[in-house]
Amino acid sequence: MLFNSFEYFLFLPFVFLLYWFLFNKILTIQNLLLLVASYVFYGWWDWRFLSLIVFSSIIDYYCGIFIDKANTKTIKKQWLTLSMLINLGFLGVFKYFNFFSQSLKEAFLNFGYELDTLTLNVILPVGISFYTFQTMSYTIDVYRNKLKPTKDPIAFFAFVSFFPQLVAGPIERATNLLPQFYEKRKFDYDKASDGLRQILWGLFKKIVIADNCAIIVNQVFDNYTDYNASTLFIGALFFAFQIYGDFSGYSDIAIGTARLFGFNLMQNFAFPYFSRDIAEFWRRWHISLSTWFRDYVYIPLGGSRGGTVMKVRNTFIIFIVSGFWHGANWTFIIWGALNAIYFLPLLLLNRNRINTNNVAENKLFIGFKELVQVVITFLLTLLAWVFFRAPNVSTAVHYIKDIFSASILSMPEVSIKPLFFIILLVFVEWLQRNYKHGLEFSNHKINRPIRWVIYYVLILMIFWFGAEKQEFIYFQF
Amino acid sequence: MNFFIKRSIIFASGFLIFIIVGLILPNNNSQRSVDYSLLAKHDLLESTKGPKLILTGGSNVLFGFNSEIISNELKMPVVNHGIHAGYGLKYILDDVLPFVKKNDIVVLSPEYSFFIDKNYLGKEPLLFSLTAKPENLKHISFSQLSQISQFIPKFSFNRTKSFIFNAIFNSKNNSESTISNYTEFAINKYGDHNLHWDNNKLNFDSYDFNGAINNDVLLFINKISKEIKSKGARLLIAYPSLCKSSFELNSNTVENIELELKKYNFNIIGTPKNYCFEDYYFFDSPYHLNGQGVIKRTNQLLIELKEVLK
Repeated sequence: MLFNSFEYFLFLPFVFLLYWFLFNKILTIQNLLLLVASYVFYGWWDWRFLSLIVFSSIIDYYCGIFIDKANTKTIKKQWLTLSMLINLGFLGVFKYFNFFSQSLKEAFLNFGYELDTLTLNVILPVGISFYTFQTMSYTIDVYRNKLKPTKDPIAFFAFVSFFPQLVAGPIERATNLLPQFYEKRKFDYDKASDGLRQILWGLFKKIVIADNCAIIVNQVFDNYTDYNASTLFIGALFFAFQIYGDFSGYSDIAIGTARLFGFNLMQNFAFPYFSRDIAEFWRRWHISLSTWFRDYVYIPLGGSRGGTVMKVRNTFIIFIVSGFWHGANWTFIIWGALNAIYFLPLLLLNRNRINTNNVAENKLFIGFKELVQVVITFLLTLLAWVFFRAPNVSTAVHYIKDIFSASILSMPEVSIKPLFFIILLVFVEWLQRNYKHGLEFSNHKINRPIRWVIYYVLILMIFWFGAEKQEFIYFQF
Repeated sequence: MNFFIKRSIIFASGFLIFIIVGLILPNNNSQRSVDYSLLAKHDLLESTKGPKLILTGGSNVLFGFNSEIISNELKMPVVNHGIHAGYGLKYILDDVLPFVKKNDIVVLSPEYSFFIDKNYLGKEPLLFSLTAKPENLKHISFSQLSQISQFIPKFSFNRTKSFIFNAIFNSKNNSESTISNYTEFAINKYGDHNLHWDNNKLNFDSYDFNGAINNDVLLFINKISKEIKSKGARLLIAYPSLCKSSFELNSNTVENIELELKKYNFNIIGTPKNYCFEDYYFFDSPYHLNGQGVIKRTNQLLIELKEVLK
């Protein structure tokens, strides 16, 4: 079920009313309702997907218990390995098998051998990378004694499949989300209203920004050889905002929805395009995934504690794995590697944590130096996004090469209508950069009639300027 | 909690009232759109004595035939029921079905895009048709409602905008008497859009409808085919006209649709290639024929119909 669909428009209030009015007496029943609602939400795409998530939940539920019960470190490790193998095995089969098979075939072809490799005709279950990582965080944290295994299967299954963030995150840590299923939730008016505001802002970003940009982006990337450099630049620029609007919009809707049900999810985006260097960008972009890789891959590998070689190795691993997580394509791997190359100088010069505060802190306008830093960082990410969006590496290389030509000064050959919405987005988010989302009014003294006018205007814009409904990009991951 | 719900309802009501007002405002355009020709087509279907030949589908049918030639050749009355592919195949067939009587022949030319994804459930244009004929709401299923719901607010706002604009400016232009293309009276007495037959070809882009075929569409056509049969009438499926450039762009999808249709026991006449014409036979879109193209397609259909009706 899509967040921006009619079905969800009916589903959400229905579950909300049941949750707070009919199932609010007993915690287990309330969790059971969330579990059933989550399975309905997920099964709406294809009921066959449910078998995978149920199986994954069963395995990790029992692995958690057995890890805790095991007397020796070796046995604990064996249970953890089983959990990892099954979870990563699912990812391997459904997401990466065909990529490896095809890559192997192409590699052998280069040496003149033709391999008859196997390809699987399977559909990629929506959001598999998200819930797999979430459930893996559980077994790893139990193994590391950071979390006691749950004995409540309903709470655990509901944690794995919690519908607001099931298909595109934020990827929650078991240590943060699971305990919230053990406690009785109380309705909080302020939290719920702020949740609704965050949902509205998320819908605006998705429907007005991302979907409008998508039309131009598809047109430009599908026919990039026909366009001049300025059009290619516009295509890349719009893609940067398409993916931001799409993914951060989804996160806003997810976090807002969870708040309606009394849950707190982690912030997934913190206005990343206002970053002054790549290190800051990665602290603000897809935070739940970056910190997941930091805690479960980078630090166990030694992090930045070792020598220079170790630092370089670990940085490349983390970024390349992160790229590969997004999809089985060389374009994602190069996107990851490019970000590693951007990041490494900062790390090696020990300058990766110099911009930990907000840009233009306590000021309305940005200073010249910071502006230059923000623009340069944005342009670097823009270049990397071309790899992320292009269907293959050769297209991305040609696309970038064609941008650097004299026609960069000519008029774009596509509509630049989405630019108006992007300017509005940047303006609002700039004003709100010290808050969690674009419509958070906790410290603003704006009276209700004005707030309502703002909401109505946003809703009008969503319906008036909203482009044709598109799936969220991150569902494919 | 109750306070939250009360506030939410009050807020939503403001928005809802705005939408409803937009939906119920009268159409004050000096010329109503071609969607309103559905009323005339219904009258025609009702008043025409059977057995009759009904041409149905989307705008490829509206812009695709000279029904007078067909009627003269086959010696039977012909009604062109096609209006807009955006209504969706489901709505189009649900709309025509009550008018199908014993011994009638229904020639369905579904646009290829109907077979892809959920297009057969309709898009925004379906709302225009429902405004023209609100009684047709009875044909709308939950899936259709779900499909078109996203367009309702925008549709309502546009109606409000248009109403206000016409109320202010159009009072001076009421003397306008020239009928335009795509308006209610741009059709002839058979239901064909004939106003453009002498117009020159306009520039238009190729149409890319490639995608996965939705099996539900075939099951739906099968169901309708059985209902038509149970009425003692016949359903024939003919392929839509499509300009060569778009045909080549979508050739694999067209081929797959042809293969899928053949799996059912439908009466299919002709092949997709028979209706793939050079681009200069088209008027303003890859599906809309110009005057010359209409004659070409009509003659092609006649050859195939005569073969089947022998």
